[in-house]
Amino acid sequence: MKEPKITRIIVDQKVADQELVQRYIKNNPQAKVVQQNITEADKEAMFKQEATPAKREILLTEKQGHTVKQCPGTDRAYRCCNYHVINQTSNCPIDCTYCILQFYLNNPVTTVYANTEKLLTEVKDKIATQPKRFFRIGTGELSDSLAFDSSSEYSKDIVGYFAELPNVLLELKTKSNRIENLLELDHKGHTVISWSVNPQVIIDAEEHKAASLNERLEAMRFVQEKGYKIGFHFDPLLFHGEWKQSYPDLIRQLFEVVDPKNVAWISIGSLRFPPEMKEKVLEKFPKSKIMFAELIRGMDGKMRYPKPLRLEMYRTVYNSLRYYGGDDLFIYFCMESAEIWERVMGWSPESNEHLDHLFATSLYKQFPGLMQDEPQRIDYDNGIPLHHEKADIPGFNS
Amino acid sequence: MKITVKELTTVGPTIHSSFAALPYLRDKVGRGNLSRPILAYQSPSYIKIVGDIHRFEADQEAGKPTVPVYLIQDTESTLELIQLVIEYYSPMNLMDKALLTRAAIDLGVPRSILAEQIFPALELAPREKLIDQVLFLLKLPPSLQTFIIDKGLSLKRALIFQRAEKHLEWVERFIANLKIGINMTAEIIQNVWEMSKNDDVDFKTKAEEMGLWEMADTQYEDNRQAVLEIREKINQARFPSLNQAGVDLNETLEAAQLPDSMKIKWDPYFEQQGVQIAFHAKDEKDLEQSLEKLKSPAFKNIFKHI
Repeated sequence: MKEPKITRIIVDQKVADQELVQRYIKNNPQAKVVQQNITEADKEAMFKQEATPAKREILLTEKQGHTVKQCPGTDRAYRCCNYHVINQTSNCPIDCTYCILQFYLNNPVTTVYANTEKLLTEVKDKIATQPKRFFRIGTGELSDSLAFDSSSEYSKDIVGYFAELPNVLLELKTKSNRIENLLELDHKGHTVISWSVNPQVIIDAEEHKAASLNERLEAMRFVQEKGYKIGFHFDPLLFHGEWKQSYPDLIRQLFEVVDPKNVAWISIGSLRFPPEMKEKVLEKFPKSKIMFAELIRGMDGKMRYPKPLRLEMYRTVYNSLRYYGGDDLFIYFCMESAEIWERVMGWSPESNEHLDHLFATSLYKQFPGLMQDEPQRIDYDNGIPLHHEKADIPGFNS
Repeated sequence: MKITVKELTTVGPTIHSSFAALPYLRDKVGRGNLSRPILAYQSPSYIKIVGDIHRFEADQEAGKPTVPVYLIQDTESTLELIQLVIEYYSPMNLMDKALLTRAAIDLGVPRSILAEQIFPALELAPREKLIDQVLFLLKLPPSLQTFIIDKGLSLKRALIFQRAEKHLEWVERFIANLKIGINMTAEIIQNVWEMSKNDDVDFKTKAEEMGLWEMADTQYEDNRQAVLEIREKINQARFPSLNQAGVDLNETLEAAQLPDSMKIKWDPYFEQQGVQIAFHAKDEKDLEQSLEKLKSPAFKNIFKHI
């Protein structure tokens, strides 16, 4: 995967002395660096620019307010897993056709919150308030967790920090193979490197600047050797002519490289997007065909494949995962109804809190030493989100 | 800029500006019936009529020796002139806007200026790529241009015709023969276009495959029947797994041999789990029989489907 070439780095004076800023500048000698006092009006003007392939700007600024938030998820008609996110970086260079960011963040500016210490301290303080719960926190909601890592070296800050926190796993979610910085870090088993995966035919057509499947497989091999836990996200599953063959083939390839014992979790989800996104995708990616598939409006208002088709796809993927990866894998659906869980897996979590507890229990059993005590359901049923707000998107509504 | 009201003689040849075609649908303006002065522009050597040539000619034919004009002098820029024309003809319909865009380009206005400074005045988004889309409207057959105005279509809606660009005559026939409105027209074009792209076949082939091509020339006594048929054909093509699910569920229901008084309803999109059951029981025996049917394994099979 090619590193995104940054053309301009805009440094907010408030964070000019931060180490992260110095790294961005050092690692991007080609970029023009502008340092100024950034106002909200400045940001608004930046976010109004239209994205172009040749232009990629980084805005290094300060995060005010809360950083750790609930995963946006979807409404209660579908199950969610009580995941939390840190949106330290917003915007993604990988340009996947189906990505919601195409809709919300169609500008060349990637916002990076550079006040790392404040951000990480907030995580530590917040999870300390519920010490009996085991949290999962990821950085891959509004960006690819590793796509900018050669510039930011942020993984060095965050992996080391999470290694010392007792009741949390960090998830770095990626479609890249930028794992160089991870290989020498002392993660102490508290980081999951997870990959969004799709067959190569989909990567070619819809994940334009992502690492190829082979590149991702090679990266998985390296991080596995370094003792990292691994996650897979079959999300979004995309309908295409050969899907019945290509998804089982993909799963076989993954388990030829990754030992199921190292897999922390696997999610399955299918294409879903707000109806308004369709025209944007057609305009930006005229060769893409994913918007022409059989799609209906789901109970949460998002476009989805009809349930009979989703069930067929899920069963194929789920059965292949069990076949190649075994019965101990922790597999969950992302934003799906209890009915889908029942019909595919034969059971469903009673609530989002129950699912959260099941995650913790699975990790406790699979990775001895990760947590001291067995997770108790009551702590999850009575748990509260680390912050009541759902993740926000800089530049949206501006 | 200086504007004066003046009486312009109707005798002799008339020179017209790039705004010749403005406003659209000139034929609807009554002859010899000028309601307000027309716009004219004083160039160094002659006077050009800015728009409304038909009105000028109408008065000429009616034998009026002069017509009142707003004479524009000392214009600082083409842009200023265009802004004035927009103001004069506002509110403009979509075809007027297309004509004005064409005129601006003919007058040498750069595309970036056109997008950023003129489009907002036309209530269009200030994006350069919209220019070609607006100009596309001028390539449409007259009946579709009139359709755009009559239905008050937005640019976004009118651009649906772009997706059937090579088959506009077919679209015209569809609208004229089946008396369908813009929503149905857009639904047909969009679905045929999407399916043709998805299957890598041309638009006409896909329309034929979907059974829609020949419908343009089919006579219907009741337009509602045509609409139902169109929807069915589109759904057949667009929702194969939903259709199959419907077929499977219906077969299971038939196998359950429910009494006629029992009605089963379900979410046609299959997203809502389960079915609604309604039945009429005339007496206790009838009730028992109905309940027996509902308890039968044959009926319970439906829950494998929904």
